[in-house]
Amino acid sequence: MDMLFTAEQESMAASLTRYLEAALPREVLHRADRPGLVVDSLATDEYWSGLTDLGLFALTIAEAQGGAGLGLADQVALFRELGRKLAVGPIIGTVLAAEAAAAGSGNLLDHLIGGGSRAAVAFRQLGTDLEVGSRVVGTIRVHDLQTADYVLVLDADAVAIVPSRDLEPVAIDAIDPTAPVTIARVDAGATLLRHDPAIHRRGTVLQAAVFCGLAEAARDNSAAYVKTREQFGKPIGAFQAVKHRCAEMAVRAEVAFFQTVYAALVEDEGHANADFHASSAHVVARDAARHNAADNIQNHGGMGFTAEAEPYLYMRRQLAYTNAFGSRRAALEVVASSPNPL
Amino acid sequence: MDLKFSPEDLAFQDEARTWLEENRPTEPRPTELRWAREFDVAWQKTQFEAGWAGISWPADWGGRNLSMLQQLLWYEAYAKANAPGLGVNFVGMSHAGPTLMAHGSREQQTGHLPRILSGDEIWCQGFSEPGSGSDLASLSTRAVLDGDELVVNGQKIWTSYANVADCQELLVRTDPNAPKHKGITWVICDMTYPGIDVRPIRNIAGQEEFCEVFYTDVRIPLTNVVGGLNNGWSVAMSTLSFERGTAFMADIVELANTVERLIDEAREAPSPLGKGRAYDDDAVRVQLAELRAEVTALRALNYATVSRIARNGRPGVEGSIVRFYFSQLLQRAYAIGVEVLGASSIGTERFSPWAQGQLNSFRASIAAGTKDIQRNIIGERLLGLPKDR
Repeated sequence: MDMLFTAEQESMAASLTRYLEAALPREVLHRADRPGLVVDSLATDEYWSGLTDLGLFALTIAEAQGGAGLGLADQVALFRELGRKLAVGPIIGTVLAAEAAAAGSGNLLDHLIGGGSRAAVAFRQLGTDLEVGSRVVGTIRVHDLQTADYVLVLDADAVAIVPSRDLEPVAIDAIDPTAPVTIARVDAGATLLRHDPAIHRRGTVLQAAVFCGLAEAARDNSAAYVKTREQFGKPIGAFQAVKHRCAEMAVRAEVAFFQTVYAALVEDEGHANADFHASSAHVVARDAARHNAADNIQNHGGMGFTAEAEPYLYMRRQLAYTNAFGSRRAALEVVASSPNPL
Repeated sequence: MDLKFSPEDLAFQDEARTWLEENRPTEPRPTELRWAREFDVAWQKTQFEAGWAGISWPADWGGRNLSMLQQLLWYEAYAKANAPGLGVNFVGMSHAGPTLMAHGSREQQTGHLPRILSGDEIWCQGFSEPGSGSDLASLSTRAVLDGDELVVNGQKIWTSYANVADCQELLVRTDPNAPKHKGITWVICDMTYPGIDVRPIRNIAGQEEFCEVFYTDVRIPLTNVVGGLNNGWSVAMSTLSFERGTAFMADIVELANTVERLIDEAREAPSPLGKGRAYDDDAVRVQLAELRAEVTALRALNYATVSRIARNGRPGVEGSIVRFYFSQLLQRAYAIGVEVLGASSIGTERFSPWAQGQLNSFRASIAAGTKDIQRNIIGERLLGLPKDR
């Protein structure tokens, strides 16, 4: 029993952080916000090949198939950094598509883990019909479609991959121009079809890890600001009204992180209640990201309301992910209907 | 990183479950304090004699010297079996014991630790005063050196079980001229010493558990000083870190049990709209699911605490996060319990159980450092924010 990262996991995460700080400096993210409807995925070929070199897409693929043979908990260490550093591009879809493709035949797996192809993750657009079989027909909500070659459609326990060129976009949400959500109609043959609830569940945990990173980044952003911003002759972080808000941000981040780690380890070790723990992680981590993003804006006062300071970046990103891997209510339903976990 | 239990851990868990199933008291804990003390002491002795009292305590003091993980597995088995809590043994087992292990002299350790473990010595805590609550270091109960004795005058308050305790961990001011953190001494006070007057205070849940304690020329031998004269603040802080770090692990497991009980009862209770079952009402279901998810996360924090102790030898400042979060969830659980089940669970007792639980839950964000103090600690020591004092 050990809930803390190993030295190897920490060093893997640190390499990714260093890479993201260099490849995706904050001013680049800020420049993506311009008047008008702008989508700027920022996920260039060079950026993507850097992520590929770090082994991000092959982490959990078996060594015999060209991967590193690691587990979901190792991925959590990396996805938390992706959240913290506001990484861009269809990373989560590519990772999950590779895991789905690993069980199939053909060379899709090699393209995905080798950085040559990307897959965006997509879900049923609520209130519309979706048929996922050898053909995928209906309306879907796609995350980071812009640079993707494929779309990984997740619906109930069905996993299907369709070419992105077969999609017909009908609307786009650019609330975060670097993480856009596209509503698209699709009527296409699936290049890969499986029934595997584990893919959605693993994605839920990875999304939770991203939320953890966002919650931590907002917490750290606030802590740094309130130590230096002075009013009434002292740093505002000395005032309990502000200090306690920051403390609660730390509580949320800690709670979210350890539940996410727990859910990942439950998956890796094949314990019972994997859905329950993944959905619990999703709920607490999403709440942490949302509330911390809001508190971070408040802690920054007028600066927090500008598009010049950092807080809006965390708020917009968590808004963009609001319904990724299902609504909050859907996750709560999994929690509510699970048997006694004790 | 793993959730695996060793074969020894699993064997321990099995053994604990079986023993608890066969030996836990099944009658309820008496409400009157005298009988409650007898009940708690008898249960402590039963555990002690079977070797379950001090799982993570060193063998020197009658413990089993096992890991903090096994201690947690014990708490989990304990909550599952609905075994009664430490009760009057709480301060001895969770504060005074660990403090004496860390700072006591050999004589103090041999004189008290085995007796605490066996239930032969009940302790209470004399920290807070009417004028010194959150600002504990401002305490003014005075102790004057007279030969080889300290002569104590003053008053303590919020002392749980002072009316049934044998010993007290007492903080006194021994140097009024030193800065406030530097003139305090941690001393063992025998509750039978002349000059001690105990007055119980009735709490909002109807119990007379905590007390005021008055000291008039109470003479305490210098050999009772723990950790050195005027060094009491650092001794007290280590006491509190035990409390925030590990003493409440059992409460967390119990809270998880309470939430499952709440869900079970909500499956049967009528819905707030009158038709169908409460758990099928969407608003009730969402509130309970949120609570269940968060309490599950709190249990993950318990495992994180165990991991930190295994790696660093201590729980760390994060103990305040656990304490704060626990207090909020406990209060929410009982508030929801009252709302969902309050009307249908009224019985012959003076207080209906969920309402009594809700009243009791208020203590969680006051005792062991208020939630405001916990947030100060998190802000200042974890995030490095400036002090305002």
